[in-house]
Amino acid sequence: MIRLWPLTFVFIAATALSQQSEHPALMLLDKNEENVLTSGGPVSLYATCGQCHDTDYITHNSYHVSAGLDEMAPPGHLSGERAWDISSGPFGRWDPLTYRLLTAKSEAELDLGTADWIRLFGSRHVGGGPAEISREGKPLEELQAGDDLDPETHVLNPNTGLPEKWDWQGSGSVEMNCFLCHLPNPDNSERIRELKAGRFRWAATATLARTGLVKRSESGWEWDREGFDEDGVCELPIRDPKSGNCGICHALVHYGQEPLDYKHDLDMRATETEGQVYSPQRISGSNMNLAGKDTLSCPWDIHAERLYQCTNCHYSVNNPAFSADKQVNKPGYPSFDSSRENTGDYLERPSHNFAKGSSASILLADSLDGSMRLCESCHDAEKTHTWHPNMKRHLRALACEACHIPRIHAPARSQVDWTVLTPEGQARIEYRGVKGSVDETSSLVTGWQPVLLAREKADRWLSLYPHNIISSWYWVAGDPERPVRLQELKLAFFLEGAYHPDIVSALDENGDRVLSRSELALDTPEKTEAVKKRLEAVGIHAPRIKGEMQPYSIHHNVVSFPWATRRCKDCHSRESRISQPLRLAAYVPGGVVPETIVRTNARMNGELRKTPDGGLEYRPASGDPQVYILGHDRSVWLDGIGLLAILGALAGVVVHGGLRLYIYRQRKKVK
Amino acid sequence: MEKRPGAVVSGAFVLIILCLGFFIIFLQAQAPEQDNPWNRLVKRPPPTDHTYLIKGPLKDGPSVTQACLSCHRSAAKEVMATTHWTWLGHEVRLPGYDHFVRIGKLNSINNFCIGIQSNWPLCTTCHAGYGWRDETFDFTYEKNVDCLICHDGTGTYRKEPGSAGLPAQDVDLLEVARKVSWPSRQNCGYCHFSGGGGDAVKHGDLDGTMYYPHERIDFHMGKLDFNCQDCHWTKKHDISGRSMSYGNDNTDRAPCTDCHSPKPHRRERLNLHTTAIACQTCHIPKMAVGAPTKMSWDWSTAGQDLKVQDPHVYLKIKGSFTFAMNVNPEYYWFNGRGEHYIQGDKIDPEKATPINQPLGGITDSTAKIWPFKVHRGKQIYDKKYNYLLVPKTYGKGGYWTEFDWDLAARLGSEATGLPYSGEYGFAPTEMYWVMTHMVAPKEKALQCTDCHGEHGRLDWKALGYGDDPASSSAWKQARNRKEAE
Repeated sequence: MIRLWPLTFVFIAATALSQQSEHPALMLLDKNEENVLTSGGPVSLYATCGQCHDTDYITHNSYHVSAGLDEMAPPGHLSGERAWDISSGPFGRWDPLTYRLLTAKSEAELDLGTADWIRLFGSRHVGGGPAEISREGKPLEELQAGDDLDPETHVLNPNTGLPEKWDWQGSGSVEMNCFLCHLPNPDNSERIRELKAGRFRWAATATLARTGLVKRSESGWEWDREGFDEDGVCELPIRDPKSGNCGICHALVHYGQEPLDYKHDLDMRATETEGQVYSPQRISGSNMNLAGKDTLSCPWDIHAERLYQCTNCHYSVNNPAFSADKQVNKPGYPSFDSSRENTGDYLERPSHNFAKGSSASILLADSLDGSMRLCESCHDAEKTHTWHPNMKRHLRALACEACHIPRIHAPARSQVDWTVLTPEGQARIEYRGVKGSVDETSSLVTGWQPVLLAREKADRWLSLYPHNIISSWYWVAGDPERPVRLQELKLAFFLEGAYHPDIVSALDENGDRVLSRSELALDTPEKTEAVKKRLEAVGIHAPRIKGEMQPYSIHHNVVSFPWATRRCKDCHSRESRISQPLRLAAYVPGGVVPETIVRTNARMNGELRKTPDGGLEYRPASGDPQVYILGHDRSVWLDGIGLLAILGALAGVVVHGGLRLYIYRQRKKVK
Repeated sequence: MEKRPGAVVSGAFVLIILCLGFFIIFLQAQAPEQDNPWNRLVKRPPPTDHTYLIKGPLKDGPSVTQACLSCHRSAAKEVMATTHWTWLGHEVRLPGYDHFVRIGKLNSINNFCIGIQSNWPLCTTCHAGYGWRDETFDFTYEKNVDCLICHDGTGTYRKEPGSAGLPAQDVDLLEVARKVSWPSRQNCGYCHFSGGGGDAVKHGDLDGTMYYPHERIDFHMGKLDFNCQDCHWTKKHDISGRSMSYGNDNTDRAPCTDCHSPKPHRRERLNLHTTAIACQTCHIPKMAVGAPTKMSWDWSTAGQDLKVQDPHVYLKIKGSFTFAMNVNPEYYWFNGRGEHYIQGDKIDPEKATPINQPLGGITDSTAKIWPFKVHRGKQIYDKKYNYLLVPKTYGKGGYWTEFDWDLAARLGSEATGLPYSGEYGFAPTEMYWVMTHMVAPKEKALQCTDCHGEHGRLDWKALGYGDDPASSSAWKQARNRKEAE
């Protein structure tokens, strides 16, 4: 008898887990379509992969590639964005976590030129798009730097603070890097090294460093003939992207027997901002110094544990295995649409736009919103939650994540403060969920409870989702206002490699002439004024502090039933889970109350409260008419009716009893 | 009509009681049937106090047995019918043999201390009897049954190593006999935890950490304070359970399903696994959890006066070893039966000879995938006749005193009756030990990704699947299976 039970896994067939690659052997070509063994040049993905796949189609159907290049607008012209944002995508939308501002063409001062954007943020960009094409649509390699300050041909010299011309012909541009996502073990560190060094055209080649096909030489990279056969053909284990590939840029993804090691890194964005970790390993099996570790026997994410890869939900939107059940940009009336790609067409022209939801923080690629496989796509909650009283009401008011992501067990950022600079010239950053420094392995990771914020679900109902909120403070200046450039901040804060004496005098509380981490805070008007004066001294006009709050929705780190929030009193009590506040900041820089960022779909109608220790917390709104929680929320008129009902019932009993007694006595008298 | 308030109150009270009763009955009727292993657990009465029942003096072991038999008249006969006494299994027909055989410690070869023939006095330290010194031992003499080795309740009873199972001189037999009890972990562990010549050596799932285990070592013994007999149900001194080393019939086992439902999981997908996966496969994720177990033993290096004399690395009398702790088992199909090397079977000295290879495969509906410790040995064989030899290691002329392999092989062969050519060598062997103890808490049980996916621990191809069954499309599996065929 052949055992058939494994076929229950056929659902995930489209993303085969096997290490074996089905991909045929291939010839690595350079941009002139010459074998790299002959030319010795860098591999061109367009020439190599383009032998079979329509790379032009792929690059034009990939938000990972365009990164917002085709959504650019002059500053102040984008609805819902900041006054200085020039795109809705990563290429042009300012991010307080990374701070540097991509300079618009119209700006007089240069902060971040295109080449610097690649050097700085290319680690999380797959290549192509803005790393290859200018904002006007010309190949970057054709641009010549003129005397005019152009952010596409100039970069800022970090040492002098002055603009310099960038030699695109020397650096080359960054092609879309297929290897990064389609190889099991791409060498991302070598790729980043090439990007940071400005050797853009070698970035894709460096990604192959672990394959044995190429090795670093004194002059750059050298192809190793032994990795190829006599025809110059090589075998690469090219395959579907796995979660580990996505994890390179998105989050801490961990597979394997080794205990999970946490290390904070902004390149693992979802881990840094939301504490999300995608791993099948039990939390108790990690190397982290976690509070109550022994009891945390649930996996980091139940879907990772059940062998699901990122692409099972975030699939290519024309993948015939998945897209058939999603009616993206299609009329809703047919229940089945047979007009879809066949496998051959898909392999030639696979869309690299990936199905997505509509999270609170990643408001980009709007056309793909809601295209992904949601919880409801696979789970019939009504069948599994029959134990739940008033189930339908709960399923409407609560997103699955609200109960199934009860707690996050990795630290996440809570506060980013650019109003001061650390000795390394970076913002002071606070984390939630950890006692002590996030850098120290001995610090106790306590975990944290996400705050529940309402967002509209696909059915337009408001549902509560778990979120982190990161509060950021920074200096802005000018009219129209712009964030003060990091260059000027450094000039204001430092003098000859040490803190400027004026800064030390203003911030040094204990008089030891050394600024400790806790002293780096503009928590009094005097300190704020002192830094403001320093900024003015370096030429910043009318600097002022601005604060913003960015909610980040959490959709991973899902736990199964035994670990989910499921006791009635968890929510239906005075200390309801739903109204639990989230600490936003340990102090309030400049006393400036942060504003909720406009471009978010999370409803931030709660209140900000100062805590007794000078911090700031966000308390979700109570008594929201659409989220009225029995046992927690109070309504005066409802309480009044209840009281009247009780009094009325009592009065009825007393009157009725009294009358009965009266009649009984009257009858007794008559007898 | 006259009002009778007392009657009204009484009536209301009766009504409330009735309502409550109906409500409870209703609730019970509605409650889903739960799998409750506790309902199936054998409950034993407290042991009888023998303090005033046993009269002294008791000069030796057989005297104690005689005292026991004065009341428990059939006990010796019962014991003598079990493998604890005979060291022989039931009659079985092994694959490749056209006749029935009985195999056991009495006549078999293993790849630890190799065999008892010619080494009786030391090996029989763990026999449930007294005086098995040589092949002339009388298996019918009731007074030679050792009751105390299993029923000692004091924890002081012990046998002198090399004394053919006689009690040590310093044991107060009268005191021990008066304090007899139900067998405990100490009684069973005395022999079973130290099989192979030391603690944790042989089994991989039985060692001294189980005398007083933490639940991380063994959930049943640690968390629930089980004794061996709670699972190894015993009738008339016949203890259920079947060792892989000599058990070639699939009877008298102590399966998990004695207490647990065959489909015990809340999740249907896990229950689907139970047709092909033994409970132990997921619930014993690691072997030798608390103490290292011997993974290999190379006899060919013995006899050297090396500086290293470490029972976990090298001993002159035994050769070199490797030990491992908290390691993943190996996984094979197993239908409860196994092949077995019979003395005189030819071997290929260039290949590892499986001594007790488990039987079963993907097409065998009775087989499941089980976890195994595989002990890899290198042991003496006859170069001319190409069969494994039992060397005399213990006692006069034994290898442990003379360090002469030729002499040891000659003396050992005299005991086994197999011809010895005078030429010996060392050949690799493998012995399989199925893991059934050291059950981890469910929080430590294997998860999907422990077996499936890129980092899974199962060798799916070797198990006959062609590819990870959770991995790929049906066509790919079909293709791989075809290729395998």
